Amino acid sequence: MNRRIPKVFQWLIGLLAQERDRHIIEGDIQQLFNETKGYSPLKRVWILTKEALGLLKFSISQQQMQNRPTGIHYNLFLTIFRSLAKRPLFSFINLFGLSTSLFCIILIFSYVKSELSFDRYHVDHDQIFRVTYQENENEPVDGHWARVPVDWVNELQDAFPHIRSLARFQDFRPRKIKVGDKIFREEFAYSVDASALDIFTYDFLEGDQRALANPNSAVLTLSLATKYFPGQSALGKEITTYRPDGKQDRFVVKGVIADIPPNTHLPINLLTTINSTTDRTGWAYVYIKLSNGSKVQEIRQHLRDFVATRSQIDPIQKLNLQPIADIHLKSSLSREITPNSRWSYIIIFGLVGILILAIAIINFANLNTLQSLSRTKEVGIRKVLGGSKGQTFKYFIFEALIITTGSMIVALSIFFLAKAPIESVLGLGKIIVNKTEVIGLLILVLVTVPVISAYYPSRVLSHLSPLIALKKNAVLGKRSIMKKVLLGLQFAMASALIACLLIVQKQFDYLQNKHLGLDKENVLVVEEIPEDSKRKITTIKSELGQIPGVKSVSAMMELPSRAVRDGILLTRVGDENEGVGMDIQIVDTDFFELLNLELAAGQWVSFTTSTPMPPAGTSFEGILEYLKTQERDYVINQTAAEMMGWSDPEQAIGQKVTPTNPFYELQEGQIVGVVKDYHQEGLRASVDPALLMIEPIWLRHCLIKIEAGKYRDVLAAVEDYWKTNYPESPFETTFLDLEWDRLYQSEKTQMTLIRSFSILAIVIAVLGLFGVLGFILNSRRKEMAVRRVVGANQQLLAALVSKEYLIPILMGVVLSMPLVWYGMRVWLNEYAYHIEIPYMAFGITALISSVIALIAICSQVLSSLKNPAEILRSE
Amino acid sequence: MKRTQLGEFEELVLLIVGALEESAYSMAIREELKKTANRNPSIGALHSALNRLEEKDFVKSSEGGATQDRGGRRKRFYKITGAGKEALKTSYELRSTWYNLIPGLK
Repeated sequence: MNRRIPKVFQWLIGLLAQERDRHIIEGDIQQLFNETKGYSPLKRVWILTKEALGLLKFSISQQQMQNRPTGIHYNLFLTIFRSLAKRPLFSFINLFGLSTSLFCIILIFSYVKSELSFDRYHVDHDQIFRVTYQENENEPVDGHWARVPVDWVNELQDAFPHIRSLARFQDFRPRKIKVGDKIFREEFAYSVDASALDIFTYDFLEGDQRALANPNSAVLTLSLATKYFPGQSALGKEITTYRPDGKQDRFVVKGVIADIPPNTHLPINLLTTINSTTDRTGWAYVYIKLSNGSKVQEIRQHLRDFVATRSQIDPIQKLNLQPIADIHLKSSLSREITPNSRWSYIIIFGLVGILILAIAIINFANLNTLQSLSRTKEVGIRKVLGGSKGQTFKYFIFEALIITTGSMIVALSIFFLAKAPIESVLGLGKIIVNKTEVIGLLILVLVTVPVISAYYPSRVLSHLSPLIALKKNAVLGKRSIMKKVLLGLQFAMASALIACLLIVQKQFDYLQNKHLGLDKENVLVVEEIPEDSKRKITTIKSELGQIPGVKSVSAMMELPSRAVRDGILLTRVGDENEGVGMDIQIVDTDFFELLNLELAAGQWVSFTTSTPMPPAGTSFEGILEYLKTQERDYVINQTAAEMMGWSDPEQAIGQKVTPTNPFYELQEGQIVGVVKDYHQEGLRASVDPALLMIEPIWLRHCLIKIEAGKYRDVLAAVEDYWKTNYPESPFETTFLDLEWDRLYQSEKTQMTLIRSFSILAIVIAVLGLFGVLGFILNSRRKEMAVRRVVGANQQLLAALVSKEYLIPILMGVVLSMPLVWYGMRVWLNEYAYHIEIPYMAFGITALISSVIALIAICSQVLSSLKNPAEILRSE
Repeated sequence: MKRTQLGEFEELVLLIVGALEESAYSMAIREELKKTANRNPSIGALHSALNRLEEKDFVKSSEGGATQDRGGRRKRFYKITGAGKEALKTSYELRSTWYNLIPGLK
């Protein structure tokens, strides 16, 4: 399918060509557009820009040919083009500066808009809420979960008549699915209540909203449907899903929906029904939709009473309601479905956008003022020849308008042609562009920029008396302080961006290099090992250990780099009233050695079985019984030891403790070791207290330490082993260091963005300085020549001019630094582990800015020096 | 008053319109200009030349041939008229007369 030509072009053609030629030319441009498909985006933009200019000329020649009274418009265009061509430096700086900054602004605007659009596409999204859960109503920060473990949350709908429907999203871990004889593992494949289709808006391609009304029904997205049933309709086909314990469920596909848009916190690939009420239990993401016209406030008021009558622990738990549109930016609870973004990013980007636009507008205003002041004679002549005040005013505003429009066309074309590469380079994810809004933004810019930047000079010039204007040495606008202030402001903004860049970079390096307390290199991870393998883990370890290149093998529950999903309350035996909530991590005897963890006291936990492990398929009660009776030793981390009141790790050794949880209880045991803190979740979060223990049935991932450089051979051998022994389960691997890098993806994106924007900002600012100096020096040509005649050399002249401009620039730079300091402190405090603000960064910034400014000044001064005889001769 | 003389670019375009016979439309003409004359006019420039030629009655136009490639827009085909041929001939004769008079060019 061919892409249509950009809308700007259709608009331009509509504007410039007469009715008769319009569609013919549109066809031509479309054809050209398609022919250039293989070209690089930049080249395409170039070609299209040339065509746009050609069209402008075309429209002028058409008016001429028809002998229409072309009047002011034709004349206006012509003279404006001439005057732009006469001052190439000025035109280039304005065009380049404006189009780059407009491009940044379109980009930032679209990005921010698409971040703000999350989950707003659901019909009545303001009536949809997610129910979240806190273990303890008195401690708002502790244990706030995005999903709910208590089954009485199901009663919400009966208790509140305002709730139209409630839907549970269960089975949020990747699910194993069998289609025909093929096995898949799918993320975002939930078991849901039928009401999920009522709450959320999905675009049904086949089937309808009632697709999940009967048990054993499933709804697929289009891409999953084509993956499972290529070339045929998925409707009526059967799929089988496996529960973690190996039990199978069959479902019939009753609906196919379009792929879920990227701007949602709740991506979906597959929905299956929850087939019985006994399955409506356990952890689930719970969503409710209010009936029309009800206020969420009415529910919130009575939510506590609802919980109080059902909660079995004291202090009672708490339920909260989050509007779904707020989740992406304002929620960062435990167990979010997908990592959310933050408000602070939006604010940062907004600020950067405004800074860049401001720099460009200042450029434009400065240059416009200067160059129009040097055009007093032209204005004088216009007036003498009968140009009215209004006409002159119109002329200057029009000129600004043309430059802005030109820049806008360039910026828009680059943006739309280069959108895909930008998204992937910056790692922004797909940006959803609302064209109407972008156009709205541009119209706003189109109105404001020329008015702001051209209003003042046009006013002055249009009110000028022709007598004064035509006087021989009419000098307008004495050495205005304004342009120096503006220059200073510009450099203040650009150097603020540079300083931020330096500090952000430093923090980023720090995060990458800080000692995590564990060795993440060369660790291959086999993810989500099958249920039946867990009971044979000792055998697996010894068999995998024989593969050449494998150093050691272990297994665990939650990979470092991912948040631990389960918590436990640890109490001292004999003092059951006070306990510390902590993460629970299941490990294996070789875990500590494999990740190179360090002991603070005691020894590593070892594996002793006193109770036979329950066979696969044991009932829930059987497992509870086993957990309660299995004797074991425990290891805690340093943070946990401190929170339990043992400031010296040695004190913890030999203490008897009982871990409990609302759902199960573990046999009391003694603490045999204290491990030095290591980072489980990345450095943004502080180290949580954790309990480490051995429990084979809860193992989830297998870790394999590999000799450096041998990973290819080992990976092949491990895959072979796994596929021979467990052909039924999907084989998925990752590397620990890769997972770790992924944590810093958002910082990386921020880095890239700030880096590109600050470079752009400084380029635009320097260009502005260049242009301003060019005009100033031009108007002071004679002064310079006289100075040279009476003996000043080049260095002296450069110093003279530098002094005048370097001072405001440096002042701007210095004044911006406290703001940067404050902003960066706020940003850094978001990290649990961060650097102190390096004052060196400010020094370096000041140095960079002044060197760049100095280079610009000197090069302009030197290039403006001609033979004084030539300059002075013209008098 | 209608101008009837031919500009250099107009003449080139008119020649190509004549030579392309049935298939003379803007993009095809542009292609020929690129290939044989090493010129790359913008679409706007080409259309203003074609419109001028039509205004002077040197070519006639008719529309047809919408393609997918052009987003469903039709092409405008041009055909050289008798007056057009006449103008080319005049121009050619004028040129060759003087050409022959330049010594050493033959």
